[in-house]
Amino acid sequence: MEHANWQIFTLIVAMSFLILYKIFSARAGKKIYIRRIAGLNEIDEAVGRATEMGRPMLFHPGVDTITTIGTLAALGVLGHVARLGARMSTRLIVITHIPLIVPIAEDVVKQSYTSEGRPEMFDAEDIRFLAAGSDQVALAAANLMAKEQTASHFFFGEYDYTSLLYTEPGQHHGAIQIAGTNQYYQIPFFIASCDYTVIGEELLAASAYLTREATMLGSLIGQDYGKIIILALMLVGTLAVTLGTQGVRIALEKVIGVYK
Amino acid sequence: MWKKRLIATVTFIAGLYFFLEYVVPPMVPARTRQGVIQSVRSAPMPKVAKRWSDKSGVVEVEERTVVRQRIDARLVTRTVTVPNRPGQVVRREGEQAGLEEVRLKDVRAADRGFFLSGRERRTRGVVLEVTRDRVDVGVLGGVSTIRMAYQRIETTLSIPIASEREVTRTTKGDTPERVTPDKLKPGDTVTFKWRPQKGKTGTVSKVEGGKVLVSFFPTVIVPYGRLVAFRTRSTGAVESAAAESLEAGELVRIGPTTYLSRMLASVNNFLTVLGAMAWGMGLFSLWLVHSMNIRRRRPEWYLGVIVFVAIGFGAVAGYGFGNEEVLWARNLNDVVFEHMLLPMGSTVFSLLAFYMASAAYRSFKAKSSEAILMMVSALIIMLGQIPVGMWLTEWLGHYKYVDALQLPKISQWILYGPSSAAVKGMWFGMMLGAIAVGLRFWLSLERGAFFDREM
Repeated sequence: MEHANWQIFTLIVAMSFLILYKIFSARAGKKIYIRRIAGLNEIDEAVGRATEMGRPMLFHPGVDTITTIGTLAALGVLGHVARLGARMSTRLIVITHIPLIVPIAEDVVKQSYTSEGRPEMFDAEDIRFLAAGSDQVALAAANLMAKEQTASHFFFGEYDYTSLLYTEPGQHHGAIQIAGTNQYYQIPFFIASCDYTVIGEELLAASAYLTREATMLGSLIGQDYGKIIILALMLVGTLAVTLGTQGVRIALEKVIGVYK
Repeated sequence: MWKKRLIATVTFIAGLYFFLEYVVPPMVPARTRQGVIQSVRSAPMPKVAKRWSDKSGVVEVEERTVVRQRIDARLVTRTVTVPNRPGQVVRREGEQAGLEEVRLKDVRAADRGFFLSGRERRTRGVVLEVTRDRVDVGVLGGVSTIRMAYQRIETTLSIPIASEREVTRTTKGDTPERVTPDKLKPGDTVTFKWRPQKGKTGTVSKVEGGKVLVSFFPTVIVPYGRLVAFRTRSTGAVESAAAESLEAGELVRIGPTTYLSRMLASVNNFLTVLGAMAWGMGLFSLWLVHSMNIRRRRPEWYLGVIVFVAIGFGAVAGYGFGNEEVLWARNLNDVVFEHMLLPMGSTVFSLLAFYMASAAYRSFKAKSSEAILMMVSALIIMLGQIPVGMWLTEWLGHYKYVDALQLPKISQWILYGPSSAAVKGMWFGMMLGAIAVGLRFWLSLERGAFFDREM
């Protein structure tokens, strides 16, 4: 609660209202346009490549627990990849070091296979709890890549220092790799070692972008309106500080609060 | 369909709990006060006592409030911002009596004294926050008093000596043993395996009148009153603070409580149980994969055998963790975890250096204009952080208009200018995305993985 004050409270309420308003107006049938996100578009290509080569795909939903936003977003992407895999009859292996992810990933993959009419494709052995530590799993993943000859790798979710341990063996192995994280310290490593990288908020927008469902798209547009508000506030603040007097600046701090 | 509704309801209630417990209390504008505690005064309040017997009627329990105090915390709440001009001198209350003159840049949070405001008038206050360009001072004129209270309860258990109910004696230095009440003596530390003090540790205070008296002190510190306090630590982290632990000089935020914090232990227990069950699922997954490998004699099936042996070995070794009494178990634990697992972890970690080198080599190939830009800025930042970079451009410092071109200065500008701006832009987007994802999950509007199917 570092910035818990009434200004932030107002801003959060306003943003939440905007997002909900846009969700419900999208549900009511309003047409929505969203820009292209290259990294997410390439998921289809990566699945297609694995299908052409007749090799399995590998998915890793990050190193953090299910309670983090990044992991939740990653599970949305997992659902999409599994659906594409089922459509093209391509095997998908999910690896994790977090036990709680195992039943949830199983459920997501099973549900995706069922929705594509291929429930028989599900194999509990393909959802693997490899070890209890992230770095051990990275080593096991490198071994798995070589053993199973995986053709496409997906790394989505929260990542720590081990990000490169996951992606670099895949790069040497010659697989097509798509990664996405909201941990900006790890983004350079992903850019250096993956073919496509989904950056920051694009990960959180991924399930909306991939499902193209009205509710999800509406929330994406709501976010964009929120960004416009923040940008406007930043502009006003910058101008006031540059041109205004100390008094204006202090008044702005009191009124806007977030400027601190 | 009902399952879907159940999941949606549970998700909503859990989200509401979090919102009411962590978001609302410190954000109620009219009731929440933020500032530095100027003084804490406590006054005793009337004490209360309760006495009852447990279900069997053999053990008597007495709950006595030994401390019940009202806390008056005087908070500095009005702030004045002072520009942090280089060389400006202010007067600060020193550790000894009297004022000392210090430069504004040397002022630290919680310092008290006279500070010059923007209009050059003297302002007496407490420093709340110091940044590169300004100092926020809490003005002593704007003080408000927050009234809180707390109570400390001592529980005493009275067990008849003739009773055959066993307790575990865990007195330091002795091996824990199960004994009947007649073997207890004053000073013994005992743990109970039965209600009403199941799992708790107490001390035998008296043995008299055919009864053993066991005290639990200090036992429970109950937040009392309608306020909850959040303390800002020197690291900037915020933690909830018990009323009796508040001290002068602390930066706090005090607001109305939703009383939900009392449920925190139960919520955490639920999560622990859920986590433990998930561990079972994880181990099941491990067993499934490796047992199949062994049964079907797949390539490298013997590695599965090694996994099972290692799990068994680790479980036995884990018995020795913190176990000072069974020497072989402790030694085995040291061998497995400290002499095997730790070095192996370090080995894996060291792989990163080689991976970084190969990744850097690939990304620093000047394939496009963006790659060239990245390569040049990375080169400047790397050179700016090491002595060679300083040595290369040190001579520029002798000239008035080109000294800003020294590599360390350009490196700092890239880091704190363009790079920092880009990161902040990303943060805005990510936080908005987090609000959107949070709202979708909370209100069960999420589609895709879970919520668009009929259950």
